[in-house]
Amino acid sequence: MGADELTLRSAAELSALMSKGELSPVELTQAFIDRSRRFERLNAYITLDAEGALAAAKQAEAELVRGAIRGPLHGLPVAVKDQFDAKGLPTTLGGNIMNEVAVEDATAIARLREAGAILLGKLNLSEYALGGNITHTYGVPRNPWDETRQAGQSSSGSGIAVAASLCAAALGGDTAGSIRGPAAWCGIVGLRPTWGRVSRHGAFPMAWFMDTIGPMTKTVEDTAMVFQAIAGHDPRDANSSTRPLEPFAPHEDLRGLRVGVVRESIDNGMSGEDATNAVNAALRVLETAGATVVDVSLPLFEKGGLISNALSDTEAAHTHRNWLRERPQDYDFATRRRLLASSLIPGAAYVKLWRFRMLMRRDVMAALGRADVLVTPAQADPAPKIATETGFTSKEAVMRQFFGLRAHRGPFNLSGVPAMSVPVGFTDASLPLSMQVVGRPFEENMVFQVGHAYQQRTDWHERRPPL
Amino acid sequence: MPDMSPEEVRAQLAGLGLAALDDDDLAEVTHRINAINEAVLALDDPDADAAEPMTIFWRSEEG
Repeated sequence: MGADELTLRSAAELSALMSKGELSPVELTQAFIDRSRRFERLNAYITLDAEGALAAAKQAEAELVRGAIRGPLHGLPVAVKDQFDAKGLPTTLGGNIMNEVAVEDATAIARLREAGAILLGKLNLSEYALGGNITHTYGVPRNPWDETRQAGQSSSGSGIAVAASLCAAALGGDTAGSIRGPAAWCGIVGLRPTWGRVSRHGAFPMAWFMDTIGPMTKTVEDTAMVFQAIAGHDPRDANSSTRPLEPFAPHEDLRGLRVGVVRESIDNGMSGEDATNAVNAALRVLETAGATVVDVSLPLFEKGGLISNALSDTEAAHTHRNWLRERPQDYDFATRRRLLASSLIPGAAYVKLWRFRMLMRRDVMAALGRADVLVTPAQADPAPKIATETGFTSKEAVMRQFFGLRAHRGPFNLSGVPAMSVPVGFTDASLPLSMQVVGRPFEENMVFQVGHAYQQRTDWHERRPPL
Repeated sequence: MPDMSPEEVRAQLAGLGLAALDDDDLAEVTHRINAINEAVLALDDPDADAAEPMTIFWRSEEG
């Protein structure tokens, strides 16, 4: 097998080859670097640190030779959203305003390095992790399944890099859907962990009470592997949980497990026909694995995008207030308009939105009392064409497009529960479709179990884009 | 609730030390804030007033 073909494999497969001494970290790192350069047109990377990655790979190889294996990530080339600090590399946030070389690693990146992973570089993202920008300082992120289409927002580079095999695994950030959305449109797995499970230290904030960092990978097994390395209490994030982390023990049998289908995510036109059919087919696969599928209701589901966006945008307006006053011309026009508008959200509206967040959480937890996991489509439709304008030419257009965009993911980031995108098929035009599996707080392993059992019975995750 | 006019939006932004860069900016900012205000106003649930906000859920769950 050629070096380039190796990059198409899952992280777990690559890890197994390296631990057996059948694959060199240096060879693998060079293969990912070469491939990343070859597919530069996808605009996945902002900074590709070939020199640093190869130096780290040589160290990892030396450790392997003397039998000092740090764990399953040892020697694996990974990349991270450029929202997180990596010592010695610039943090750009995908925008024009900030470009400072970080003096220390974000905790999640430090933990990847401690686990033996090789940092290939920093990945493109929607400006300031907001999503919705039309112009892109570091190139328009292109979906590897159809380069005229969007890769999702805001961890776009992470979605592209994993789907196009430009790294073995990536980290993304998810405030209001920014891991799950790109993962769905790029046909990969993406986990938003329980809020508080992974330290946010060293990550640029969007909305502190919803910001999370999580893995984006080819398979559920890979996601669990990366999650185990980055999760756990960090004293530098005062709001990270001290709850112990249990190892994930994969098994394929789902007997006794109840899967709740959120009817409002599918009924009344809330999802397109392709997404609905793919998720219904996935539910049948879960039944084959032994699960019992039941209907559950989230009455406020449709409002998830509104509540989530309005809350997080108000937080972002505060974070950006000084740049917005002093350097408004340095923002993409859509980002600037979004932040200016959210600067005007009345205080009483913000308080009302917080109360509705609590009601959403109440409903989600009640549904998770009736089922072990919840399932919805991760995106209502497959990836759209790359946008050249916002299309917000009326109040009604804003309501339809802006709030509707994140409705499927909003209820769960509002509720702080773990949620994962899993690929479940393709459209006739070969665009990925995805389901979202949602678990109770800190029950990531249950989410992994469902996703893993599904992937043991299907092969969507083994398909690669026609690059 | 009546929509805000572009001039009202311009004045509110100015009160915060902010400004739209041109008329296109101002028009879209106006559409956006009017959409948010209308949609938030329309949110309705009999339990809303009793739902006291909690920022960090897991703290109460961990005791």
